[in-house]
Amino acid sequence: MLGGTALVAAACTREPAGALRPSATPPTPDERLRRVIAAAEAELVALYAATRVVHPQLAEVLALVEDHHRRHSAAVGSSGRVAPAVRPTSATPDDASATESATPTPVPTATDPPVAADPEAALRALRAAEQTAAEARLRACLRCEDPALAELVAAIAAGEAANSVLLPTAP
Amino acid sequence: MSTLDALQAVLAGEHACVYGYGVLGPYAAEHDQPTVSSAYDAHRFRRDMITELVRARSAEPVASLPAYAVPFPVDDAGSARRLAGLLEERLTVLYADLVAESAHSDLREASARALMETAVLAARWTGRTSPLPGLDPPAG
Repeated sequence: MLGGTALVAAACTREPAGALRPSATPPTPDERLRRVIAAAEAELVALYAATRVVHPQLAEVLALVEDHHRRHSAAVGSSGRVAPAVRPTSATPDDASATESATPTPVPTATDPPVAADPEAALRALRAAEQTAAEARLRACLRCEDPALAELVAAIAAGEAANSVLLPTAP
Repeated sequence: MSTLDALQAVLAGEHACVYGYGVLGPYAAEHDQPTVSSAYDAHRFRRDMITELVRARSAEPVASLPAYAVPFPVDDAGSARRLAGLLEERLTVLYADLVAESAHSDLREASARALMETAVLAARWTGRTSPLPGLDPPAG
């Protein structure tokens, strides 16, 4: 719960300055929800990317779930706020077989989320992050005015709850 | 689709699910029995809850059928899991529809939570999930 709150709070403070200009049309409550969720999903993408750097042996399974979060962020309308893909998403079919060797090795930076050195602890943190995210999406779903957005956000919550049980318990 | 239509669709789905778990239960592996048992209880609980919600709208709840066609023979632990996964995945679609038709926040919360629970069970049974359960089919 605490993690979710922190995530949302972090997302809010990273609102682009332009959105706060008096002349700008204030976003609707649904637009605000979309932005907050897109930013929170981008945070999850970053967490998975950072975990892949520290635990390359988990890269395959983590990349799959990371991609789910990228999809979530895009689906709520991220307006370019999605974290850049570590693996090129526009890869041509020819690249597919070479992905393993062609994937640029991500370099950890000071802004990366912290990742536990113990793989089991790192996976536990990801499972907890998924559960926190699922509950946060469920609450957001109740505040959506557009029924289609409510359905989308509920599906995101369901996907994250499912991710939390599919993540392996041991490497 | 109206809220009532979506409720009736979910109710029909829960009836089929309760029937399906009754079919697969005896074949499920020993270590799957606790999940089968809790899933069966959850489906019966939601079936009864939705029945009441339909009645509260002065409508006649759809009845269960005497029997349902099972899409493949269920005769071992593997096919039991496969049927359970299929049942749950089908339900996610119905609950996602219900979320979209739920203006009342209590119903929306109940349907969104049911979507979450069925997606989790589907993932447990099938070992896979899609990014958006109920909206798009799981990959692979």
